[in-house]
Amino acid sequence: MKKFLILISLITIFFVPGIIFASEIVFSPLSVTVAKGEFVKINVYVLPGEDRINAAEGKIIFPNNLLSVSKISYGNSILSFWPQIPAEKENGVISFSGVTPGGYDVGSGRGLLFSVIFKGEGEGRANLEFKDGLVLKDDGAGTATLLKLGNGNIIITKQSIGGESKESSALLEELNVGSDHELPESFTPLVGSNPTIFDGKYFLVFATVDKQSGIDYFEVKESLNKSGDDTKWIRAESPYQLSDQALQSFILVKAVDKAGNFRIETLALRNTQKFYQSVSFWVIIILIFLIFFLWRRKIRNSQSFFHEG
Amino acid sequence: MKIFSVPIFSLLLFSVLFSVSLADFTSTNFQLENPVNVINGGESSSTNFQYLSTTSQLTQGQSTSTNFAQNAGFLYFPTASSPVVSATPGDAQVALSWTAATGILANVTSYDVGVSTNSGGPYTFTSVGNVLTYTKTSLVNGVPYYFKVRSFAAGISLSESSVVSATPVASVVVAPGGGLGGSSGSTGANFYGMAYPGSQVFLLKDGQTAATTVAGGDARFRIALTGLSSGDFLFLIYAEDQAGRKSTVFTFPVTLTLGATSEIGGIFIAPTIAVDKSEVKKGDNITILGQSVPNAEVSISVHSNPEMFVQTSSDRNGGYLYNFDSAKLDMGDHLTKSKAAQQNLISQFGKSIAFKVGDKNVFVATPVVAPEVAVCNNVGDFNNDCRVNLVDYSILAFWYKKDLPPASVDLNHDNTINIIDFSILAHYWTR
Repeated sequence: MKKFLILISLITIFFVPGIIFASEIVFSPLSVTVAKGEFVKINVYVLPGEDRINAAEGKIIFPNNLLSVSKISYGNSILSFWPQIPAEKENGVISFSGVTPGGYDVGSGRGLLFSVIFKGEGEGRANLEFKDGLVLKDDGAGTATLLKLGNGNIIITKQSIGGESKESSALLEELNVGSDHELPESFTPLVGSNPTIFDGKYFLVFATVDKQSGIDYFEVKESLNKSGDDTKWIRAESPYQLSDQALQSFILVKAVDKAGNFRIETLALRNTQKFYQSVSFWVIIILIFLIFFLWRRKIRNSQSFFHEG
Repeated sequence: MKIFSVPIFSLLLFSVLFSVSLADFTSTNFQLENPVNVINGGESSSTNFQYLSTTSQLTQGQSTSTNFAQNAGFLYFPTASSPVVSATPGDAQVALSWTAATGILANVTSYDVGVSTNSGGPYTFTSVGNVLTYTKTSLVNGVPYYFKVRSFAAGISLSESSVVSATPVASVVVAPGGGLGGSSGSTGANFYGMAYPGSQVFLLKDGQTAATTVAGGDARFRIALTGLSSGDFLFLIYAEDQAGRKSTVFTFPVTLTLGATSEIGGIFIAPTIAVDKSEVKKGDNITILGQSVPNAEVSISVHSNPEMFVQTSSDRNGGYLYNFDSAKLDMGDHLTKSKAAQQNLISQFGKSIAFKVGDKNVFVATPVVAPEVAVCNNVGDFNNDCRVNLVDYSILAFWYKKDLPPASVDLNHDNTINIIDFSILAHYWTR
């Protein structure tokens, strides 16, 4: 009878579909020990349950007398857009809110939300706690999944006498943005308008990530030249209200990462320029005048030569 | 009584699993075509092969009693979707990752990774357990290697991926100079697979359009992305069939290595689906149709109680059609979905579509509009450009947690713009 029950349990586990699994947000590693003054990296993962998911948000609470945040990376996240980028908005609280168009399911395994590099500031046991966690189904209604929130901890021991650990040294290298020589990812800026923002005026949107050091800032240029050398870069955030509401300028967007690497994307003109607005038109006109002037001068010179002759 | 039907049905499945599977019907010595189930369970054997049979029915279908249900026939054998494999070359190694195979009538419990120096094999398989990544080490730089992944349920092979190749390379060092817009190396990814003949295929990288292409007449497509940086990416692929119906979105995460090109092969976009009636009069036929790859076996599931399966074939244009007799169904709401199989590759199930069995026929217009028109008036298309994309996201983000958002952007009408509105927008995201 016991064997039969075991068999039934095994069969049920392996072969009967439809068992409901909750989605989960977990820390990895769950528990780690670090010496005071050293660094430790905690990855935050979501594990979808039976439902495809497309949004997650929450808060991580940690004791800020024991830990400080050195870096938060989200360039490798499964979440593509962030209404609230993961950041320590208030002491001891990291908040985040992000979405992934198209969704993510358990078939792709656990998905990284973001990573945090903490520095051990004081000795003791620092509990990492999730609060206000929400993972939403990709069902078109934003239905919340059944969510299991994991907890973690970091044990901070006294300062290491034998020098910094290998793991902490590697993280120190990661914190050194100078080691990033890769450009931010390519992206496509878009122009839009909507009566609900900027009084219906045209605005520019852009977004990209940098997988290594992270995006630092964006700059925008609106120029009559494709090269954009006639105007200065302006620090900008998306959405950005355009100055040229006639949409006759080239729009250049520069994404700069924390190491100073940058990528410039150019948006072609939406509305064709009038012929007289083109720089090349005026260059050609000036050249024609110049040629005409030189030709006249040459004619005049040759006439005066014959007269003198 | 119903409580007993689950374990009894499971037992029957268990016996089927351990007695016969489709893979048992071929060997180097023979091929068993048009197999039949014998009425009495038992074993047939010869010097060359062994044929394990089960107690079953003479025809495909379902036997029921008050205590249990038995599904008989090959449609009811457990299968799984083919994993999509990504191969990223490294220094004397290749990092493999794959999407989980979705079991049908069985849950996948482990994977085997096969490696060969010839695309046609023979492959040496290693059991790697129930994981989705594996790094094959001790390889020779400069030599092309071929890989495939098999899924298993309790030792029974359910599905196999297509072959992907990668050539290990020595480590790449990118010279500093990025600050001046320097090189990002030749990091990239190649995607190949099958959609629908002549269909548009869209590839999104971290939520933004990275490439579009048109599948060939054989439904095959190939997309090459270059100039990427190293790191983790989430790629999405979907297709629109010739009638403008969108496929399900195929999602897969890939870790790219600096200076290397990853190969992501065997993408098999699930069939599209439509029905000719939103309500069918019980006893009348409901036509289930859609598009897949040419000459595929298309399995259609009608998610009733119990779930029913029927099979049809797609034509040379990938179109398929099945007239389903609603007399088999109870009155009420039902769902149907389809998957396709071709050349040992099995797709995931596609979108589910709802219909009702009632006392009248209510016909629906088959979507034959152009794709661009088909996505118009979508939820979340705030700027009415027939797309739901970064522009609409930015409009929503502008109102994030602000007081008194306009009703036109408040997607769930709760007078606040929060993560729920973003989730709804992301669901309707196009490109």
